[in-house]
Amino acid sequence: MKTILLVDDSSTLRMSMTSILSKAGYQAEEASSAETALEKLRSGLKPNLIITDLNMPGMDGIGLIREVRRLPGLRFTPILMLTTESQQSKRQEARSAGATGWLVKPVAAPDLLKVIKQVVPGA
Amino acid sequence: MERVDHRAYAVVRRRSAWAMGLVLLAVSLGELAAQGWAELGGSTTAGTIRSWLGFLTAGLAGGVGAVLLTAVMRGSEVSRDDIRAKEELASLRERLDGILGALKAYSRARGILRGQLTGVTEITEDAAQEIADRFRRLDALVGEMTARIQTAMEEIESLSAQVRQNRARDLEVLRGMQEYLAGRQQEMEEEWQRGEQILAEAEDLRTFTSMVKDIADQTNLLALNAAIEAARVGQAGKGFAVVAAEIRALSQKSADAARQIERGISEMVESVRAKFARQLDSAARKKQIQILEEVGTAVSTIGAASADVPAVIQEVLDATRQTNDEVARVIMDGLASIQFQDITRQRLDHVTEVLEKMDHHSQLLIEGGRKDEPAPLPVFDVDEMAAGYTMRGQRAIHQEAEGSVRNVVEEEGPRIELF
Repeated sequence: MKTILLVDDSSTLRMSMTSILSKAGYQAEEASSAETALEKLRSGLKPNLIITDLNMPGMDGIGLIREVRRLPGLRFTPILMLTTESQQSKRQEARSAGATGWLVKPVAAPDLLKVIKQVVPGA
Repeated sequence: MERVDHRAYAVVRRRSAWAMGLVLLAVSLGELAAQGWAELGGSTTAGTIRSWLGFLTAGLAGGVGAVLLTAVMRGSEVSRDDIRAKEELASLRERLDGILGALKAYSRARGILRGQLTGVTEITEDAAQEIADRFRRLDALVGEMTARIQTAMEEIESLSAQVRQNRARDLEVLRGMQEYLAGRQQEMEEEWQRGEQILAEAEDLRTFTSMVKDIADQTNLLALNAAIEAARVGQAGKGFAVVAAEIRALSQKSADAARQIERGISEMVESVRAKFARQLDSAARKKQIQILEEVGTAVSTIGAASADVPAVIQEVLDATRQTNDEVARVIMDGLASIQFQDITRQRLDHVTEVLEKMDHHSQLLIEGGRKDEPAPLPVFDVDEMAAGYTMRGQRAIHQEAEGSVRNVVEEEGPRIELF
C-alpha cells in the first residue's frame, strides 16, 4: 500500500482528504504543520507522495519543500502543492523549490486521484 | 456650543452692570457733594463758589464714572475676543473629543467583528467536521453493506457455478425423461397396434373353424354316401359301411370341435377387448398421448429456466456493483466539497487581519489626537490589502469594489498543473 503524507493546518481538510485517500486504497499520514511533517520525515517516515498546503502558520509549503529536498532519500519523492493560491509567481517559486505539481483548492476527488496516479509510480 | 455662549454673555452682562453701577455711584456722590456745598450757606459770592464747587465735584464724579465706565467697557470688549477664541477652541476640543470617542467606539466594534468572524469560522469548521464525520459514517455503512453484498455475491456465484455445473447433468436427466416420454408414447401406439393385430388374428381364426366345419359337413356327406354305397353292395360292403359310419361320427366330432373353437375364440376376443378396453379406446389413448406431450413440454421449460437462472443472478450482481460504485463516487465528491470550509476560513482570516490593521491605525489616530505635537500618521493604503489575497475570488471582489487595483492583477495558471 502506498503512503501519502498530508500537510495542512486545517483539520477539516486533513479529515476530508484522508478519507478520500483511504477510500482509494492509500495509507494517509497527517501533519498539521511543516515542522511536524519534517519531524515525521526525520523520524524515518518514507512516503510515496507528499501533499502540502502553501500558507501555513510557521514554515510555509515552499519552505517545507526546500527542507524535504535536503533530507536523504526524499530528493525525488513527488510533492504536490494543494492550495488556494492561484498566481503564477508562487507556482514558479514552488517549482524552483522542487514541487512536482500544483493543485488549486477546491480540487475534485477524481482529479486528485488521477494526478496521484500520474506522479506516484505503481499507484 | 450653546452652553459656552451663554456663559460668555453672562460675564459681559455682569461686567456692564458693575460699570453702570459705578457711573451711577459717581454721579450720586457728585450730587451729594454739590448739595453739601450748597447747604454750607454764606455770602452770595461764597454761595456761587460753593455751587460751582458742587457742579465741579459732580462733574468730576461723572468724569471719573465715565472713565471708569469706558475702562470697564473696553475690558468687556477684550474679554469678548478672548471668549470667542476660547469658544472656538472649546468647540474644536469638543469635536476632537467626539472623533476620538467615535474612533474608540470603532475600535471596540472591530474587536467585536473580529470575534464574530472567528465565531463564523468556528461554526463552519464544526459544521464541516460534522459533515465530514457523517460522510465517513455513511462510507463505513456503505463499506459494511458492500462487504455483506460481496459475501452474498460470492455465495451466489458459488451456487451459480454449482448450478452451471449441475445444469448439464440436469439437462441430461430432462432429456432422458423427454425421450422416455416420447418412447412411451410410441410404445403405447405399438401396443395398441399389437392388440388390434392380435384381435384381428383371433378374428381370422374364425375362418379356419368355418373351414373345419365345411370339411366336417362334406366328410359327413361323403360318409353318408359311402354308407349308401356299402349297403347296396351287400355283405361285401359291410365292413366299408362300418368305416363310413366311423368317418361320419368323426366328421360330426370335427364339426363340434370347430364350433367349440369358434366359441372359444369369440370368448377370448371379448375377454381381451374387455381387459384392454382403456388401452384400445381411441379417445383415452389420445388423452394419454396429450398428457405425455404436456409433461414433455413442461420438462423442456424447466430445463430452459434452469439455464436462465445464473444469467439473472449475474445481472442483479452487476447492477448492485454499479450502484455501490456510484455511491462511493458520491461520498468521495462530498468529502472533497468540504474544502469549502478551508477556503472560507482563509478568506475570513484575511478580513480579520485587515481589521487588525485598521484597529492599529485607529490607535495611532487616537494617540496623535491627544498629543500637542503628534508624530506623522502613516497612510492607510487600501490596496495593501491585495498583498494578502491568494484566491481569484478575493481579487475579483476587490477589483469590483475599487474599479482598478494596483499590484492585484497577476496572471493566474490552470487549477491543476504538473511541472
